[in-house]
Amino acid sequence: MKKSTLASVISSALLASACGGSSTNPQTGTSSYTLKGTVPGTLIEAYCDDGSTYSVTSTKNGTAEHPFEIKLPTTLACRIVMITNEDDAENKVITPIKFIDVDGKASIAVKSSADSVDVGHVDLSMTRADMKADDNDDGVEDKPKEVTVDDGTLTVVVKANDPLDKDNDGIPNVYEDDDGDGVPNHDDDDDDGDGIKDIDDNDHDNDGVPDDDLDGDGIKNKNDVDDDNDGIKDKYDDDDDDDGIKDDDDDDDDNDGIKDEDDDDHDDDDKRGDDQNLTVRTAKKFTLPTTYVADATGGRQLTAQCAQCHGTNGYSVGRIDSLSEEQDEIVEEMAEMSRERNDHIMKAQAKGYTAAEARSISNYMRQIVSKYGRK
Amino acid sequence: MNRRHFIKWTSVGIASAWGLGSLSMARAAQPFKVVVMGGGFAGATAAKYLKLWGGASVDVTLVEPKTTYHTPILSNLILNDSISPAKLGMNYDTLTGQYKVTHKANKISSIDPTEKRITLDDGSTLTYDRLIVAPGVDFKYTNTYDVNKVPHAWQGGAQVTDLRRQIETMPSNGHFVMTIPPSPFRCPPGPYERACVVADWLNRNKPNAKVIVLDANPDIVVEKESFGARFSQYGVEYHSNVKVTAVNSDTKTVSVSGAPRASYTAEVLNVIPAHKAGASALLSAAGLLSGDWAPVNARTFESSQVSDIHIIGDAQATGVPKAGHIANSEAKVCAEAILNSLHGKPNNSAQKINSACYSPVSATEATWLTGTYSYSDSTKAWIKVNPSFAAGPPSRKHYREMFGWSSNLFSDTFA
Repeated sequence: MKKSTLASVISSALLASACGGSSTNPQTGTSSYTLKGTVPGTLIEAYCDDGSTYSVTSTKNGTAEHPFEIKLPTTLACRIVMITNEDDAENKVITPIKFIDVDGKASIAVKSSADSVDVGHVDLSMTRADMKADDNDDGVEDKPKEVTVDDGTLTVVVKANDPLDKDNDGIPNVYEDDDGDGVPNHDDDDDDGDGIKDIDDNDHDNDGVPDDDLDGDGIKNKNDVDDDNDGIKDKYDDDDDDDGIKDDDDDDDDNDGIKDEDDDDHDDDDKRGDDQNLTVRTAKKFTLPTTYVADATGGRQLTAQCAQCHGTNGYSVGRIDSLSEEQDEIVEEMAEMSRERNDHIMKAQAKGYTAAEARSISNYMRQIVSKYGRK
Repeated sequence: MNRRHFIKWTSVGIASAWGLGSLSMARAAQPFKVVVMGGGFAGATAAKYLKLWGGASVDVTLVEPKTTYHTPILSNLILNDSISPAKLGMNYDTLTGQYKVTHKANKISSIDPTEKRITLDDGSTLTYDRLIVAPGVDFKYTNTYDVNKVPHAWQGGAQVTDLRRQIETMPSNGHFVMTIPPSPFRCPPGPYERACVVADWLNRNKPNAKVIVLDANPDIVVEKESFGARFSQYGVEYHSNVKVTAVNSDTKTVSVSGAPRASYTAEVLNVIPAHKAGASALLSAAGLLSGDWAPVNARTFESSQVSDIHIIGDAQATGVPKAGHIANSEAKVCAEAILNSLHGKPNNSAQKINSACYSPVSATEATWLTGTYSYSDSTKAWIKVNPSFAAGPPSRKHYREMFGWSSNLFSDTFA
């Protein structure tokens, strides 16, 4: 799952600051511990149970052993991946780490209740030629490197079915190379090689079953606190799907083409699969007036002009937002949408209406909602 | 006194109108009678919104011979077997049940604008305070031929299913030839969308088949960038400025001028003839037409030639696009204007209507095209709000959005 351009910008910004030894860390409010050690010049990444990701680059100190510190959440098991030559797509070497703890248990998933864990020096291959084994030539070591931490600070978590490592080979899903093109999923903008870019693909493994897992890390979006694996948790991330459209303007924050709650069967595996997505029904039974009341504000007519896409009186039957659920945000949203740089149809439509007209629509929708409710 | 002035004068003073003993004025009491001719996107929406807003103050009768209306919108997806034809069949059950619209499954055989009365094909009559005419389009055939053999498939329903059958059974190295009529025609992206969808299907299923598009227009009318790129990608042979001069349905040959060849013979021939207002003989007899279309007051869609008759949808001549989405849009403006007029209320001066369309270009991708129009008091016309006019490139995301759009458009119209 290769990052979009915007994400690349963010990542390089993080990398730039990471050279100074800073890192993306668990956001405030969660307890954390520090995993530290030394490595050759390396990017260290962590993939945790809730779908969150953390990263840091080691600090140059004039020796071959660069120190690093990365803060990780205390309560979640995380998997550590170390990458040398990380800025060189052709030559980078990716090494997942399997830890062995004081009890002799081994796993790529670890956690700690200590303040800090020192893993000592981790010697990593710096070039593809030095790799231990890479049968599929994707730059990822075929077997994780084993690192022993036997001082009791680190707890290995052995999982029978690790969602982040579905085939249990010690290589996290994001560093598998599903389509065998020599580019691991993490760096591949089309993980399954089906010709559909990951950002548009709701079925990264091409098994015909929608996986609702934008970043392909194994944690479904609804359970994933960082849907796009950009290191910024969704609740802090104003662009969850990394499509370059800010969530406020993106009717589809996870970029699967549909809102999660409406996500029933959009798998494209059946030639008539989308047939089911045409829904013609009455969203709401409205009371017919006993006498005619003219609307001098114009809000009724303007709102009716939204109904072709948003449903009669703003109650949508399809995957488009109901105005009845955002009657107070219409003015702000239309203003925002008209300014965005994207190919959303509402960006164009929003420019067709004045702020006064948007207020008029909002006022009319408040009347409708007060009478018929939000849904 | 001409009739227009008469009506305007009487609407100022109902009491004096009673005194005149005019039959039409005697009927101008609640509930008002509105008859809607045609149950497509324009007519069905008008009927629904007249009752949604007018309620018990208005009796609405929808005269539409069909009990199931097959939408032309999305019907190109029948051609690549992406949607079942039945899925596009709309009924009037919600309009009659929930919205208390009376549906008469008849054709109108004549309109008497003086007596404000229509006669149905069963001989019965209906009087109206206002008549909404929404007949859609009809075709200007170059000559008589068998449309079962050379379907236009431009009004949804059986002809589309026929065309699908022809495409499905054509030889693997066969030719699909379609002609695009001169503007204005219904659904400007539609023919290009069709060519793309069919070519994409043939490329995957009959890769040796050939698609040839003969366009009467000087260029691709809308979304040229998207459709042009797909034509190249799919290997569609496209010729512009091609005039159809004759069609032979027995040999499936179309004679043309302006193309590399004088005639094209195809295993599957899809001629979409030039358009005119639907039910044109009826409309012409009622004095509603000027040329091929019906001129109207753009703000109310009332005929500029005949009082108390409004024309909405593809048949009216305001110059906005002819398509289902904007027909629904016009219907709401018309419905409110009629209710205001019947109840003696003023119309708001400012008004907006909009057009939007998603076009599939393959079995998985679609484009969109949209724009908003503003009513201008000074020019008495619908004027483009230019920044709102835009097109979206083909994508899977837009393909999925297409079903959100059509679900709401169909439901807003028929349910």
